[in-house]
Amino acid sequence: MNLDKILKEVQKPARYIGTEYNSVHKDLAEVYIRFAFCFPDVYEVGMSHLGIKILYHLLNRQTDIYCERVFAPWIDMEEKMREAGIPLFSMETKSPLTDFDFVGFTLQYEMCYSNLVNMLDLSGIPALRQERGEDMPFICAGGPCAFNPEPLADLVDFFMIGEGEEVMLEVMEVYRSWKRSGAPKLAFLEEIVKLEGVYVPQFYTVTYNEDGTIKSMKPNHPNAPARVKKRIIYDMDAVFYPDRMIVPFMETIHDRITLELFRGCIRGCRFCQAGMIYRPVRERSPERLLELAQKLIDNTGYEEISMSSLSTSDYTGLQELTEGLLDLTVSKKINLSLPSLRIDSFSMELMQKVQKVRKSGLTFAPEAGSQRLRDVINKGVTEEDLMRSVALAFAGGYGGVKLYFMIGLPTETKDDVQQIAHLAHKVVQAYRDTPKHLRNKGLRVTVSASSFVPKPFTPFQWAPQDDIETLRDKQHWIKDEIRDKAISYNWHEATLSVLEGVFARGDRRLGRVLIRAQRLGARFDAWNECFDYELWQEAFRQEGIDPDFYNKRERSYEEILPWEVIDPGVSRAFLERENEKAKRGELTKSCRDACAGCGVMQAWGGGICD
Amino acid sequence: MIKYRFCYAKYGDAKYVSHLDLIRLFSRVFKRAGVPLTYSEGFNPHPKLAIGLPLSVGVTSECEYMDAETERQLTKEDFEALNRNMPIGLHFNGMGERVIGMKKLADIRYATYRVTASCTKLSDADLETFLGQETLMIEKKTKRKTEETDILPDITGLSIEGESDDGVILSMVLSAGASANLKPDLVLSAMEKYIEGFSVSDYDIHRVSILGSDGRRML
Repeated sequence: MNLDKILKEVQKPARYIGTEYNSVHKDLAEVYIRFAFCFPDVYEVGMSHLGIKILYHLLNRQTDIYCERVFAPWIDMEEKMREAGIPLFSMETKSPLTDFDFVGFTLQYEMCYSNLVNMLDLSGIPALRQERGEDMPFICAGGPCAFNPEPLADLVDFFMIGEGEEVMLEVMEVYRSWKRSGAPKLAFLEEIVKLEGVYVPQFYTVTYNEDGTIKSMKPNHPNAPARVKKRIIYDMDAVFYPDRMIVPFMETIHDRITLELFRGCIRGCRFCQAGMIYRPVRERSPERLLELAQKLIDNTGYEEISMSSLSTSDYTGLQELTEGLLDLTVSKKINLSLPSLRIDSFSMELMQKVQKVRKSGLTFAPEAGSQRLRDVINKGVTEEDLMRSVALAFAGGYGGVKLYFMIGLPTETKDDVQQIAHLAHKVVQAYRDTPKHLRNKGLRVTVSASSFVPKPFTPFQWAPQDDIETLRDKQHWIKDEIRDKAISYNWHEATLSVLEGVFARGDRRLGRVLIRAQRLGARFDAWNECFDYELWQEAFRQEGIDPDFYNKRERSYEEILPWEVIDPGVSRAFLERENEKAKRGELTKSCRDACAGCGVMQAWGGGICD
Repeated sequence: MIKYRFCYAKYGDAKYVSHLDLIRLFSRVFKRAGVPLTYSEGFNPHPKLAIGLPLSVGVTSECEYMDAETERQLTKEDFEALNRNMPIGLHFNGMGERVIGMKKLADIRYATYRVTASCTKLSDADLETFLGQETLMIEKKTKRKTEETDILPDITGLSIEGESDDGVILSMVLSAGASANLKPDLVLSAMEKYIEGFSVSDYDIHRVSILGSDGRRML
């Protein structure tokens, strides 16, 4: 049985082809280092991710390095592969992963961890580092979840923390000389651990107190730093950005050109990990972005360009950029999309200009229902802001409004939760108050409530997480308060959020649970149709680990947190300060209004915040 | 606005690209090549591209047809630019302006296939008996239901073209297009049903040509 026959039997075989336009094909005889870039989810999810687009081309620009892509095969494909004894293979050359020098995973969300284990299993690579011999590739990882690398500490050889454009090439340079030397694997790790941003978990020893908390976490190797400082790119105009992107055959989630405007966020929402770990704010210039846009249009033929950042409205060159982009795109029938926009009159005007056609929906994220709670989380949005925005949207002919909220936030009361529904009703009222000749004929207000998961390196990293029952109660409190047919309400599965919480703030004792869960059949946990909470409960039971330990406790400021072996630049003092301000409902201004002293300036010297 | 017909080949792994994905793919090829397509009017303008006959996922071909409308006359250089901008496994092998009197893609009636089958022994006499049946009833799936259909009227030609490593190479001429359409894999199923002892373990299908009601190619 060969791959060709299997591909005729599975859904969406285009997931596994690897000859897309702009994919890179090299002669293996002329390559010295082979890197398998693994995205632990299915193709159409992985190919939507910006990091893979950047790093794939960055590595492949090096003539002696060949970076290939690997995705998790969907359930039907995995079954056929296992039946036929076909190991997991790379997209471009269909090579088994054991043929590579590096198997690197990007960790975008905790719920992909079982896929990582499963992908190693499908490759015949032991998941536990200790069981891997000298002949096995190095397993490495990066991405936002690597800011708490500990749940994967016994599985992964090394992590690259922070932005990867520079550190990856530095690691490759060390590898070149190591490979020529023929030294054992350990020698390579001993060398790269000297690089800023590289965390090698085996060089750290963890001891525990009787209550299960960490007693100490110390380097056991002279080369290993006490804390691993994340990497950042200083000059966004000078750093590599691809001028071509792979154009998939099949439709992916984000099937378009992605222009990354800036990194970091000035807002400081207290629940938001991205807003903390990607500091400081560093912008690309409009000139550079327009130059890239032109090349990407020519090289991909895409019909849409999306501006990517944590908060598009905060880009200082937004007007210049959008005007420049419109010049490039309108005549070519290319659409612009503007996600993460705060709605004010300027942006409404902008959207009218940009999205001439689609008036289907706008998304707002008040995150919490009451002003009190919005102040707690430092979401600097008032009800007046929101109502002004939706009024503008309705008067502009938009008929659909999506409202994103979280439940389970610290200090949350029943009243806070019910106000989510009340806010939705006020939005409906704003539509009814809009003159008929202006507004859209149909109205659809979608309320989406996800469950808050406390994340490392946020002011809420010490907070307990609501348990399943509490989250479900809260979901119902909202439902019971909604009394309008124009409002539709959806929520996330509470069990999934609770499991995410365990791994988000977990320690290295959880690695065994991951491996157990994979053996029991866990994979694609982020997919509703695949997620099986009972299976995970069984895995925790079999490994004798209590998941409540990670979720239900309020951690004290004295506790050593597993992820504190990483230094994200943002200081612990700042996070504690913000947590205390949260309890008092005090706001912190945006970075541009007043420096909050988060520690990033001290970490890299002044003048780095745009 | 000028109307063109393109002939293209689909081979290798590109055979797994679905019919629905192809229009989007070609529109991007034209964009990359700097060949301006004409767009429809209205709220959601789309390029004027039409593919003649869907090709099943997993089937290769050397003769697919696509009609396109461009904003200007195309040159040999444009044609070459289009091919340079194609992904691996797709290639234009012909282009012609659509003049008055030219067959429409809706006039497609037949398609010829080369089917390489790994199978048990098969002789010319087996095929003669097979085609000599009164009817060839086989379960055929339509969009909504599955029903027993006689496929014999839709088989215009069926013969052994040669031998492969572990079976035969068959040549088929089958009905194709909007009014009647028969896929080669269904013919194989019917052969398994009606030819005693015949069974197929694996097969590759390649479309050789697409023909109009006059029995001639579309370009």
